[in-house]
Amino acid sequence: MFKLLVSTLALTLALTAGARAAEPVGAADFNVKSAIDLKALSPANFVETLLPVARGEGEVVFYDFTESFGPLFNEHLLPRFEKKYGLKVKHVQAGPQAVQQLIAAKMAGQASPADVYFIGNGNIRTANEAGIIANLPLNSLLPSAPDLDPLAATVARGYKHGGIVVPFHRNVTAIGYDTRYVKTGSEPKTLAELAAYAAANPKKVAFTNPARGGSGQGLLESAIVALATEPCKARLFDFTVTPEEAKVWAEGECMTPVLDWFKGIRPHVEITNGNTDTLTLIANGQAHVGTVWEDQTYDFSKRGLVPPTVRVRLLADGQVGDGDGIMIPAGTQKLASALLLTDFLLSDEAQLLKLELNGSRSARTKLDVAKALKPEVLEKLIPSEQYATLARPRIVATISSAATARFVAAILQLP
Amino acid sequence: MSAHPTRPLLAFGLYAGLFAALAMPLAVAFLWSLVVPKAGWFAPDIVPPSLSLDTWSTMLAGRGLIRGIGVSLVISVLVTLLTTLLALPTAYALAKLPVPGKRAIELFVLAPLIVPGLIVGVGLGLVFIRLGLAYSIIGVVLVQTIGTLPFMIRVLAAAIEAIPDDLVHAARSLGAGPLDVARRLIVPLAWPGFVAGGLLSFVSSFEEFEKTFIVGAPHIQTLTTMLWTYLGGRLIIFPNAAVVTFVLIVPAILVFFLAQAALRDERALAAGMGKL
Amino acid sequence: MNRHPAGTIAGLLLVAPGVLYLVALFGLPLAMAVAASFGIGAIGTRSAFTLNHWQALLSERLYRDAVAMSLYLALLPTALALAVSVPLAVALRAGFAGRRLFSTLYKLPLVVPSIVAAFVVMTLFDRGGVISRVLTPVGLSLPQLVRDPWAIGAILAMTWKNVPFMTLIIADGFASVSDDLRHAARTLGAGPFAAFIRVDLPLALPAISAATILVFVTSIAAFAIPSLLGPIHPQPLSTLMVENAFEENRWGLVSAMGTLLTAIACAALLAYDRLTRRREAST
Repeated sequence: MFKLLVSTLALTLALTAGARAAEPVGAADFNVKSAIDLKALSPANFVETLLPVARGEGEVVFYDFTESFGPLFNEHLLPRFEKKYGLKVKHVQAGPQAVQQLIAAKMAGQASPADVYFIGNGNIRTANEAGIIANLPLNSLLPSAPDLDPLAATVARGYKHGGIVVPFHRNVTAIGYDTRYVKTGSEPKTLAELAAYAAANPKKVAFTNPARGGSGQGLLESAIVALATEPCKARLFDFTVTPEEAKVWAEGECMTPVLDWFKGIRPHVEITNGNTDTLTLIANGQAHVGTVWEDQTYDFSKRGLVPPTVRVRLLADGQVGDGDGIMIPAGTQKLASALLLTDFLLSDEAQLLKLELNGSRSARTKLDVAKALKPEVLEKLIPSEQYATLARPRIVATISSAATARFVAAILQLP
Repeated sequence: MSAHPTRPLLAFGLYAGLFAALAMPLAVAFLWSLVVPKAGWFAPDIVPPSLSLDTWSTMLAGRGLIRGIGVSLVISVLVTLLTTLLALPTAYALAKLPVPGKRAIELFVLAPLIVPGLIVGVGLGLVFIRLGLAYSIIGVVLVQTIGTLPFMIRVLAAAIEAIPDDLVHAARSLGAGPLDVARRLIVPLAWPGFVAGGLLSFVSSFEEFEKTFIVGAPHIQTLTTMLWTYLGGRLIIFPNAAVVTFVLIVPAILVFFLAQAALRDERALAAGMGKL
Repeated sequence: MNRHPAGTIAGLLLVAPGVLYLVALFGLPLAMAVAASFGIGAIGTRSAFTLNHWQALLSERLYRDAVAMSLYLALLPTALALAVSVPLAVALRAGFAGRRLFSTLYKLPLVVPSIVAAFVVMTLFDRGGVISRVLTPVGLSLPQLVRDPWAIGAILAMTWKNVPFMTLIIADGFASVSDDLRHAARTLGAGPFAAFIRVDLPLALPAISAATILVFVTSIAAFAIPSLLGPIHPQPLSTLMVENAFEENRWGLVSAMGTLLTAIACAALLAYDRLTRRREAST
C-alpha cells in the first residue's frame, strides 16, 4: 500500500516536472528580478548565461539555518565555489528566525537581506505562503542535479512546493546504540524488540520528547506508520489534510495502537529534552540505546561528543526521515550568483563532501556514493541496505503536529 | 573608614563558596575546551583522556570571531551610554518628583524585561526595515536599549532615592540649575547606582541575541550572534561552547576591574561631598 | 515633598525621555503582538480577527500547566537568590581580607550566557556527569537533578546566574546607607543586629525590592535553562513559545502567549507593589 502510494506520487511528479526551459512554478510569471530572460534559461545554457551577469553582482549573502553545517560551508564548500567562479559569498548562521526577517523585508517592499537561504523543511510552507520564495523550478533547472529524487525535490514534510526549494540535505531518524553495552546483532531491531529491551533494561533507553526534538517525533511518526490501522494510514501522506482534520485524526481511534505502544515503554525509558540531550546521556554511559538522527550522531561522533563505539540502525518497521533545502528569496538582487551557488551546492563534489563530513545524505539518485564512503565513514552510518529499504518519508506535518499534541496529553501529562 | 577589618573566618568561607560555585564549573568548562575531538570525554573518565588546544586554534582562526568581539564592545558601550542618558532624568523624576501615575510608570518600565525578545524583535524588525534602520549599528543599539533601560531606570531610581531630599533642596535653593544638580550632586552621590546599572546594561547588551539578530543580521554580527553556531538551543557543542565562554569572559573581567576602580575613586569623592 | 504644579510639570518633563522611548520602541511592537494574538497582522497568516488563540490558551490544560511552571521557575530561583544575596551583600559591606578581589570575581556569572550555565550544570550534575563519575567509585550517587520533576537543576542554574545580579544591586543599596546613621544607631545602644534590622534594611529596601522584581520578571521569561535542564513536562510558557514560533510557525498563538506572559508578570508586579506599599506606609 505504502509503496504503491509513493510510486504513484513519484510518477505524477515526474510527468509534471519534465526537463525543458524554465517555467515559473504555480504562477504565470516569475516573481524575482532578473537581468536575464529566465524563460530561456535551461540546464544546457545555465553557466554560460549566468556567469557574466554574476560577475557584476558583488558579494552573495548565504543564510544557513543550521547550527552544524558551518564548518562544511566556511572551510570547504564556499571557498571552493569562490575559487571556481571568482565570486564572493558571505555565510551567515541565520537560524530559523531568518524566515521572519525575510518576510518583514518583503512586507516593507525591500530587497531581501539574503540571496540564498538553506531553510528548514518545516518552514517552507510559511515562507512560500508569505511569498518570499522565488518561483524558480530548481528541481529541473540545475545542470548539476538532473537526477533528483522527484518526491524529495517537490515535497517537504508533506507540503507540496513543486520544486522551488531544492533538497540539499537528507537525513533519517534512527536508533543509536553503544556497542560497549549492546553488541551489534543483539540490538533492538523492531519496535517490539525495542519495547522488550526497554522493559528489561530500565532507564537504559533514552527517548527524545517528540515535542522537543525530531528524533523523538520521528519515532512517533514511525510508530504511526507501522502501527496505525489501514483506513487511518490513508491520510498520512495526503497533502490536503488541514490542521483541523489532523486534530480529528489524532484525537480519534487511529492513535490508539500507537499510544498503547508508548504507554508500554513509558515507565522504563528516560525521556529527554532534545536530540542533543539524548546523545549526551549516551555519552555519559547512562543510556545504551536512544532515538537519534543519523547525521547528527555521525557529526557528534566526529566531534568527540558521542563515543566511537556508537552505531546507528533503522528499525525493521521502517523509520522516517526528511531533509532540508535551498531556496532563493524572491527579493534577491543577485539572482545569477544565487543560482550559480545553488547549483554548485547540489554538485557531485559538494554532495559527496557533505556526506563525508556531516553524514548528510543526498537526494541525487545517481550519485556515486561508493567513492565517498570509506570504511571508517561507512561504519558510522546506517548500513546501506537498511537505508535503501527501511527509510520512509515523513508523514504530513499537520498530522505529525496533532499526533505530538495527543502524545503530550496522553503520555506526558499526569492524570 | 579606618583600618580594613580582615575577618579571616568570613573571608575563608566566602572564598570557599566562590571556589565551589565558580572555580569548579569554570575548570570543568576549561577542560571541555581542551578536549581532543578524536578522543572525546566520556563516562567513566573524570578528566578527558587527552588534551589539546585544537578547538581554541580552530575557533580563533574562524572568520571574524575577533572582529565580532570589537563589534560587540562598540555596541555595548554605545548602548550603555544611551541607556544612561535616557534613564537619568526618568529615574530622577521617579525618585524625587511628584509624577502623576508614578506606580503605573514604574511598572511599565519593567515590562520590556518580561516580554520575550522574540516578540519585540519581530515587531520592530518590521518597523526598522521601513525606517532604514535595519542591519545597522544604530538599529541594533536602539533595539538593545529597550532591554537595558528597565535595569538602569530601576537601579538609578533606587540609588537616587537614597540621597537625602534636604541636599537636593539646599542645592536648588542655592540657585543650582538642573544640570548642575545632576552633575555635582546626583552623579557623584548616586555613583554606585551608575556603576551597577552600567554594568548590567553592558552585560545584557553583550549577551543579547534575538533582537540583535532580527534587526542586525547579516551586516552586523556581534560575538553573540556568531556564537549561535555553537550555542543554539538545539545544538550545544561542548568544546566550542567552552571556548566561547572564555572568549566572552575575558573582556568582561576587564570591564569589571575597570568598574571596580571607578567605584573606589568616586566613592571617596562621594564621601567628601557628603561631609560638606 | 514638592507638591505644587511646577514640580509636577518638572516631573513629567523629566520622566519623559525613558518612558517615551519605551512607549515608541517597545509599546509599538507589544501592541503589534497583542493585535497578532487576535489574528491581526500575524506574520505568515492571513490577517483576520479571531479569538481562537486566546480560547486555546485559556482552555487547554497544556497552557495552564505551563503558566504554573513559569511561575514556579520564577519564584524559586528568586527566593533562593535573595537568601544568598542579602547575606553576601552584608558581608561585602562589612569587609574582609581580599574583599576587592572577591567583589570582582563574584560577578562573573553575569557574563556567562544562560545557555553556558545550563551546559555547565548539565556536565556536572547530569546522570553520568562529572560529579557522579567521582561519586560512583566510592559507592555514592546523586539524586536526579536534570530533567527532574522538581526542576532542581534548572533552579540551581538560574540561582547561580541571578545571585551576582541581585548582590550587585543590594550591595549598592547598603553602600548608599550613610555610616553616620549606623553609628548614630550604635551610639544610641542598638546592637549590630538590631542596627542592621532597624536602620540598614529599611533604607536598603528600595534596592532589595528593585533586585527582587528584576530577577522575578526576567526569570519568568527565561528560556535557555528550563529548556535544557527542566522537567520533560510541563514546559514553561517561554519554551512553548519558542517551539511554536520556529517549529510550527504559529505566530498568532505565540503572540497570545507573549501577551499572557506579560499580563501575568504585570499582575505579579501589582500584587508585589501592594505588599511593599503597605509595608512602606507602616514604617
